[in-house]
Amino acid sequence: MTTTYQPVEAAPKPVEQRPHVLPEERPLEMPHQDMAISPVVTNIVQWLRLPGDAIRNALSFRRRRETQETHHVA
Amino acid sequence: MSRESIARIALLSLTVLTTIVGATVFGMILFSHSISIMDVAQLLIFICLFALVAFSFWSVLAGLLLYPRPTTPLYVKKTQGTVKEKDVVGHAAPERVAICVPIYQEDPARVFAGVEATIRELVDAGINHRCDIFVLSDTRDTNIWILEERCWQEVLERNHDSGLQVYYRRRKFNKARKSGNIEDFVKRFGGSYDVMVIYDADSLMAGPTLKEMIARMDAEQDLGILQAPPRPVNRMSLFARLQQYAAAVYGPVFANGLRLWTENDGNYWGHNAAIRIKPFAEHCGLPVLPGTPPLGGEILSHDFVEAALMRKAGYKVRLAEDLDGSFEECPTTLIDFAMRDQRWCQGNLQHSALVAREGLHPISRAHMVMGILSFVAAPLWALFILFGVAGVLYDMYVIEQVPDVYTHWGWSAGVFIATMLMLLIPKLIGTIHATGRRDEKYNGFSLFFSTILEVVASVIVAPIFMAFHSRFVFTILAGRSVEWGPQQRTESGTAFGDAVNAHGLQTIAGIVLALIGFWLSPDLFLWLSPVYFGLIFSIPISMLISSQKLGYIARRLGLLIIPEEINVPRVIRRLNESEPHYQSLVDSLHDTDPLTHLLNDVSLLDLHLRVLDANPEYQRDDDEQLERECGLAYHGGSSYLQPADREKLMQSPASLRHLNHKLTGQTAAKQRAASRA
Repeated sequence: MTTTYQPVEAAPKPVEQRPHVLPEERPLEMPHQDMAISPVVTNIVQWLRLPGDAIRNALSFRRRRETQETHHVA
Repeated sequence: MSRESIARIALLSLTVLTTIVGATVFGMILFSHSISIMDVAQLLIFICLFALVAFSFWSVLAGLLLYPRPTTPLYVKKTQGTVKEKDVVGHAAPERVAICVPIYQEDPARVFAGVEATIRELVDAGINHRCDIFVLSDTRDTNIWILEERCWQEVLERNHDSGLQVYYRRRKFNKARKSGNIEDFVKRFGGSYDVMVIYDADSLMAGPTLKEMIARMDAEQDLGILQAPPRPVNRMSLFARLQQYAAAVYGPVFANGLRLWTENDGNYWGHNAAIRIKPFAEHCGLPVLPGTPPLGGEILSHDFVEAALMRKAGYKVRLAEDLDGSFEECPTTLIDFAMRDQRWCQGNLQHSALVAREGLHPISRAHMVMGILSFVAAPLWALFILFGVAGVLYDMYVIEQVPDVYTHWGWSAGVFIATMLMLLIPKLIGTIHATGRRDEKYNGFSLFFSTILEVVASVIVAPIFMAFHSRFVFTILAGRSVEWGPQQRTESGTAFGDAVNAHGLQTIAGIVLALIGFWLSPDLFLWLSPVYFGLIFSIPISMLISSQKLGYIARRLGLLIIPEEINVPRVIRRLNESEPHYQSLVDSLHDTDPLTHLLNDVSLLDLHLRVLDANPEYQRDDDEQLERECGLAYHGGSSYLQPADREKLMQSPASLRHLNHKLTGQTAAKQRAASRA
């Protein structure tokens, strides 16, 4: 069976007033909030990092020294 | 000092005190002979878990003290209509309200039957002239998109005399998921409204409840978010009925406790809530987290963060625990529930990056921490068990002595019983309060056995959820993100293959745990039985508990019945009456290819073009590709197109008009040829 197509302009109009798809736009600004980390927490994190950093520094110092000694021996 | 400050201090003190007592007794048991690293780890985990249980317990008890008659819908008439006219004096114009229904690939019949029920509720409540409804679609599936448009048209035709507008908007790009969907609404249309009521696809709210919420927003201009606790209803599987029963009977007791310590620093649960739009726009634009998903990127669980930002801006966020008439529908199978939890788990773990952000109210931080802990508790519990077994092994084979847990059997049992009591007493309180309502079908006998059934089911499924949540937490921490899929809301049950896929590993884990316990000692085998039983039988448990048939049997026996099944609220009745009509409409169109359907039905094409024309996103120039696609569709039909191309074509008003004209011309030519012949 062949389909009979109709022009879209001939679409039957609803009996009632044609519904609005969307209302008139009345925009609001919605800026994205900048949620910075609290300075208190930043300080705590830095304090917590201190022992770790100290160990890491000590290890890298030892490794550098060992490398230097190896070079020296070589 | 305010009442909530006293409540918070009392609650915290009681929680700390209880935890200290529990930890001291447990520490005495663990460290009686020796101290190993496993013992220390187990004690630390115990403290975390015990504190959570103690906090929940004391919050319920304290809630009862300050609210001695919790407004349980089972026995006390709700305090609706508490806002008097005099409270609202001073606001020249009443608030304009937008009811927003964000949807994503949902069942259009359910969504629009819900919209129709809401329209009629608003009319009956006399607030239709103040409200507009926005169906905000993020649907990608073109078939569902067309069905949504068709159902929307049907809603308009059936409710043309309602006096309120129902708008439909589909986003071309669903940036930032649900929060982006709402943000798009606020940015484009927010200026026309004072308050928005956010629904979920399965939300339902009674007219008087909406009216009361709007009145409360009217009366307190610094009330930013008012959350009505949604109660799950309308589902029949045994698993869903267990959730519905728990929410109906225990929910009000827990809500009272929550309201007690949150007061104006409450939380937002993403739907069934009224939000003041202007401050929401100004202060609640979500940041994008640094890093990549799963822990970075767009915020998934936006609700907690929006509540925290609203509170930070100085607006009150409150739980309306005294209101009923706020409903939702819950997942019907255990696997669907777990899938939803997976999304929530990722969202809650993301909050770990926000807890320490500057300026947040301490209670907002507490909400986030509790959200995180609700998921992290599962792996902690799993580790607690593993450390316990490792501790027994250590005692038996390394230091060769009787394990501490056995030598202090009485104390161990005491800690266990104390924990169980703290978990069960709130449920018992909820049940006792519910017996206040004497009903032919809903008596104390039925409540008592329903609670026993719910407790037994909770114990059985607890290890299954422990396994699920542990996996979610570890996979998310390992960097695997969650796909954003639509929620399964139908009563489909669980097929054997799906159950094996979801629970296969859990079954193996349960068998291994039982064997280890059996190998080590009969006592340990007994202690571990609540854990491995649920895991070993997770496949049949999942299938049985998700069964609709067992739900019907429970209902016939008078078990797990909720008040909404005895006196069905008008809004639920309306939904149930409308849904078959929309379902038959959907069924009649479901098998047709969406593009073919559009081209064949000129009134639907007209409607679709109006949807596109009203949305600036769709106004783009057609490129050569679309011309080519038009040609393909014209010569070969819609099946010649790939789904992505079909979606592009359906999003292009110019191409659709072009195609319609070509096809119309073809028809006219054929008709001319036929008349000549």
